[in-house]
Amino acid sequence: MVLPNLNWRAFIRSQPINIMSRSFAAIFAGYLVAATGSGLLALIIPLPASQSVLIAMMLSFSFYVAAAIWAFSVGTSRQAWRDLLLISAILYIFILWVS
Amino acid sequence: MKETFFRSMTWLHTWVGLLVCWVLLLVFFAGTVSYYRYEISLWTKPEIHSDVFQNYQTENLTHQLREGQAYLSQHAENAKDWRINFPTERKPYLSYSWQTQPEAGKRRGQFIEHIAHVNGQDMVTDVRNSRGGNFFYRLHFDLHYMPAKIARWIVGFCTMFMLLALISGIVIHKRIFKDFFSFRRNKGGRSWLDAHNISSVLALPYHLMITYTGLITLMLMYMPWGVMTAYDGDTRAFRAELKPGREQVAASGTPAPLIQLSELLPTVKASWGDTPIKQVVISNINDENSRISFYKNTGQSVTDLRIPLIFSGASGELVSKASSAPSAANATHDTLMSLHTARFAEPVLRFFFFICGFMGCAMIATGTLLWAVKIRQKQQKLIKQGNKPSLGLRLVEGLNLTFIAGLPLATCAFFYANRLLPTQMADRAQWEIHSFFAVICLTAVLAFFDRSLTSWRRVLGLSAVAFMAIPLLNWGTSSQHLFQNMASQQWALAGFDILSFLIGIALWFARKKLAQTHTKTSNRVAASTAWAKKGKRVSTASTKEGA
Repeated sequence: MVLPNLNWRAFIRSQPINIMSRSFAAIFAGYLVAATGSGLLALIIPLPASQSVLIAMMLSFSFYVAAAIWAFSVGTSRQAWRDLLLISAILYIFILWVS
Repeated sequence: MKETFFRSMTWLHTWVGLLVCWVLLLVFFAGTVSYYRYEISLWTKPEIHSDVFQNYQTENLTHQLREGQAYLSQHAENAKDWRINFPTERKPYLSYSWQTQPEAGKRRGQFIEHIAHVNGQDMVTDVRNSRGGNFFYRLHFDLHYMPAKIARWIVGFCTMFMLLALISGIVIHKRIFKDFFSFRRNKGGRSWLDAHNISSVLALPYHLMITYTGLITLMLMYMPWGVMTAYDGDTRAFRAELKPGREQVAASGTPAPLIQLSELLPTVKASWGDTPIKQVVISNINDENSRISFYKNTGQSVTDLRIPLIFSGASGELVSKASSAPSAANATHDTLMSLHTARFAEPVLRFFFFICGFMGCAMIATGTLLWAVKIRQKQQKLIKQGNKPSLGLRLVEGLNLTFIAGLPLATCAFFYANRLLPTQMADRAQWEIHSFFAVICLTAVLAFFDRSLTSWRRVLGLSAVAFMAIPLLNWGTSSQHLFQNMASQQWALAGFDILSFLIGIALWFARKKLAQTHTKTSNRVAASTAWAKKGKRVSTASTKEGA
């Protein structure tokens, strides 16, 4: 692969890398947010377990969409990664705490 | 901030749309066609087109159950299970079917179905081997030529992208109401954008609903994390709690004679009144643990839940009865599922679902066509100087031709193969499916060599003629032709022919339209460049990011 110049900073800030990074943040970190979010909801909704799991699963895809839109709306791709990973980490801590 | 948000949503829309649009088109197309799954299955079995269709009749139940039990114990003594299927609105025939004992290492045996004649005397046993409408139903989420699990992940991924594309599409659509009422014909890229907007916005509630509920149908696979936390990953326990009475009982090995099925009818009637029965399933036949499940025909009520009455086959005792009212979460889930499958829809509503599905296909197709038209405009100078169009553009144009024009033709090939392949051919059902994909591959080869409008016209023209000739094909290969079907009010079969013919006419118009465009190319290019100069529209920004 021939790079236009060897300035790595410029390369990382370049458009294709930026889009790719945001996409991966949306896909993978976004999934983490949805997964931890639905995992937590399944525990805290005060209904019989099978029902709260059902509700949590049905809602999880809206968390995913919100996370993906977040990944594309913040200023930099780094911020996208940071925010989404942070949110899922917090949710995960809550899961550990509740269970 | 607002402008950047807007710009980033435009990006998102273009990229997620373009990345998955061809798989999505295939999935959307197959899903739309599967609204007529049972009707297609009827059409693909010409053996049952005459002297078989009947309505459900309560007074015949006892007799039919007795006959069925006698027939099955004579022909399928060692089967894994028996099914007696009563006529319903969409499957208007009585049939006895069974599953053979699975071979070693397989979960399921072979399904065999014998269909009763109206006279009740003899059975239709030599129905041709075809997947019929089930092919499109499975194609919708299992794709083909690959393990179902991988396919479902791919489809889920694309669906998620579709949901994102929809939401970002709504965000970037600043003038949603104004654009809704404007359609500028023959304006090149502008017209494609308008077509994209109209097909998206007109059926927007449907698109959002179908995408989200699509994810929900397979959510236990995509998002099992609630089960992980609340049940420690024990999916079985979760399912058992969700749908009590569905657990399979294993055979005990102690033989016990099966009771007369018809003796159970008074108990069933006491619970359900005169609600029609759809199916009776008998498992672990002639075993102490045998089970008899009655399923009612839920007909046009909005539900996908199949709640059976289960009896012991040895004693006739009622083992499990449905709880009367499902919980709120269950009811919500059930409603979302049946919104996706539209099982409740009567013919007119079903047709509207079908039209909305086609709008979805049009939305995807016009979106990617729009991208190709815009990029070609951008590269026009270079192309005129004798350069090749960029690889991305050639790829997108080729895939567009393959999938947008190829899918109708491939569907037609499936129907022709169904009627024309020899009935006793080995792996017949599989060869029907092979012919579907072979036509897509042939279109791809054509697209590789020639992506011009001429190719589009050829493929569209061919599928138009093929669709219009479907009533003729049916006339030649079935005992009942279109007018006989209309006279005997077999609207499923007649509707298939009529709808095919209409689709053929529509495709012919599309072809004709392209032929006119071809002669007007110079006008069109002039018009579209004029439009492109009109300053920075939302959509121009999107192609810039897209490039």
